Amino acid sequence: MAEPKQLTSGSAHAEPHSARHATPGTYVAVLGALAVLTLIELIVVYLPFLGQILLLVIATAKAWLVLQFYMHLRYERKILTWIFLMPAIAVGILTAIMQFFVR
Amino acid sequence: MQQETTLTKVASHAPSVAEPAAEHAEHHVDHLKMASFTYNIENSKMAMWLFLASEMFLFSVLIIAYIIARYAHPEEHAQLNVPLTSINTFILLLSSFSVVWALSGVQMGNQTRLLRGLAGVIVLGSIFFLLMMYEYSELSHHGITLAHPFGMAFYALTGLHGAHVLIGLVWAIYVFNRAFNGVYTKESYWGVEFWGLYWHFVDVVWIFIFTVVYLL
Repeated sequence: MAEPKQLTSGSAHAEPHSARHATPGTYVAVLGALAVLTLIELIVVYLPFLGQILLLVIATAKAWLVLQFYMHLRYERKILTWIFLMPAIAVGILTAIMQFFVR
Repeated sequence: MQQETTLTKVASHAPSVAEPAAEHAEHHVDHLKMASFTYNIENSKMAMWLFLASEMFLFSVLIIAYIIARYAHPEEHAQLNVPLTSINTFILLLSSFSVVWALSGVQMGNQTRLLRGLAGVIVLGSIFFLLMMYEYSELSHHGITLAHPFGMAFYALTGLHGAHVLIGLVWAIYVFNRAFNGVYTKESYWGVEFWGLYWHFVDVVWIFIFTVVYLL
């Protein structure tokens, strides 16, 4: 079964390839950044202070890199970013509210 | 479908009008068809992201449940195998790279790169899954089972993630088979793109699981 012809996101007019997606060089750079950040995480575990906050910041940065460059959110409409982030924000707010009732 | 029926009607009337008008009508039909394809792909993409958002709800809740169980049972948490999971994390990150490598291959019309990238994901994803099974058997020998409150929260979260990896692998084999049969081209590759989004999502979830479950 043949697939429908791929067109530029949100527009019927063709754009240069590099304007829509990251280049292979960017993909390699992101992989390098992800590997380095993971190594930093493994070192940060042994820090006596601020370790937990730093770990969460690094994990968020890694996830952001994957979302932006590998999942191409950087090149998509902003609504898709909000659709994806909304559940995490909602669960965060609900958890914070829950703390008042638990304590 | 409604739009496609209208397009057919317009096309069937085209020969009856003057030549320039017919050309204009044909051009208009082509434009409408292109817009229709764009509309469909945009809808499918939106649906895919809505699906991923619903998955985010599921995993977010399970991560919160795990955090509560983890601080209630710190001694069980100390038994988790961090070195093995670190290797697994690198494997999954590499598999995500393999996905974009395959995608960039098909975007450039390079079928060999597409097939190699997809094969890479299948191999790396399988290794990840097998190492996870090994970790589970190791933990069960240490008494961390589903019967334990910590085990329940741990296996619910990581097990659901593992199930997603397994589904992603089956999907990857399907995509590989289609790629092998030359279904994907430079102009038509959304089957690879949508599966890729799913696989990257599994990677994003693992990034947080690795930090929250194993490192915190």
